[in-house]
Amino acid sequence: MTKALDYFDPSVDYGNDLSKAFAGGDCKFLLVSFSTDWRFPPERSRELVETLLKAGREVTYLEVEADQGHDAFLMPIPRYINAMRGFLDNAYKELVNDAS
Amino acid sequence: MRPDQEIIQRWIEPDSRVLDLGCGDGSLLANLKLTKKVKGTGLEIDSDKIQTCVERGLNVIEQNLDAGLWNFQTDSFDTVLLAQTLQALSHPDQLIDEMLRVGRRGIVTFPNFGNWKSRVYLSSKGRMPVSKFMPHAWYDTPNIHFCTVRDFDALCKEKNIRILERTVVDLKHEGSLSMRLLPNLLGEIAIYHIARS
Repeated sequence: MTKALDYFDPSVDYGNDLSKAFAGGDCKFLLVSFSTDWRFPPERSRELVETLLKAGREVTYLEVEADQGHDAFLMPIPRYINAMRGFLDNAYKELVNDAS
Repeated sequence: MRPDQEIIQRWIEPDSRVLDLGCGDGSLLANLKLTKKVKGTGLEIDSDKIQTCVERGLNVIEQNLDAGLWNFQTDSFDTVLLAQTLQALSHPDQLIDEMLRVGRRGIVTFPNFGNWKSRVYLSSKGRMPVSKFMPHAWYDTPNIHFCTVRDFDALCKEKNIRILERTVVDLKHEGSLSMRLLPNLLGEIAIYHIARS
């Protein structure tokens, strides 16, 4: 499992260009990183933001202060939860609008 | 809508890509999205304001402007906005360069320190101007790089930046004929539309 995680590289099928891997589809992205997460540190998330912008995608990014390390994403940290809620509420509204 | 936002709105083309540096609660971007159908993104560092942007359905990226715009591609936006933020930057000149790299055009607004009230305050009291408009004492102000209309004109000239339009307004964000004649003396907020030469 850990190996699969380490070797996972979505850019392999796109000439090692990650922005090409993100180019398809039309969804919006929300990225949230946590200050003490060394598994997926904020620098890597900022790299992802850069790649998504390069791919011309719509992206929202938050850097949340948290002292729980990688497991912070499992915790009900208000800033994180509120952003998730706000983002999903809007995604839902857009879906309903598109449908009607 | 605030008249300065109305001026900015006039300069934005429909369906264009807009990047708002220091977008605050996203009110300007939300308005541009509604009236001009722009594809917008905002940069902000205040967490409450970021949350408001998210709730408004805007794309917002938590990013400190003093770190530059390294993650944005050249020519990836039509217009880059910098409203009332210039004076709070560590390197305003460098960010202007970055704005015009990332965007074809830029819109910059800032408080005009050359306004007669600041001049009278400084010359009569001999102290740094503090007012409703600039409410901070010199030692705890976020505004570390004040400039005047003439200073900004000079910077544009030095950098070979084209000034497409320049207008000044008062604190109620209204303009007048006298302000057009003496922008540096009477204008309280300067609004510039700029482009690369």
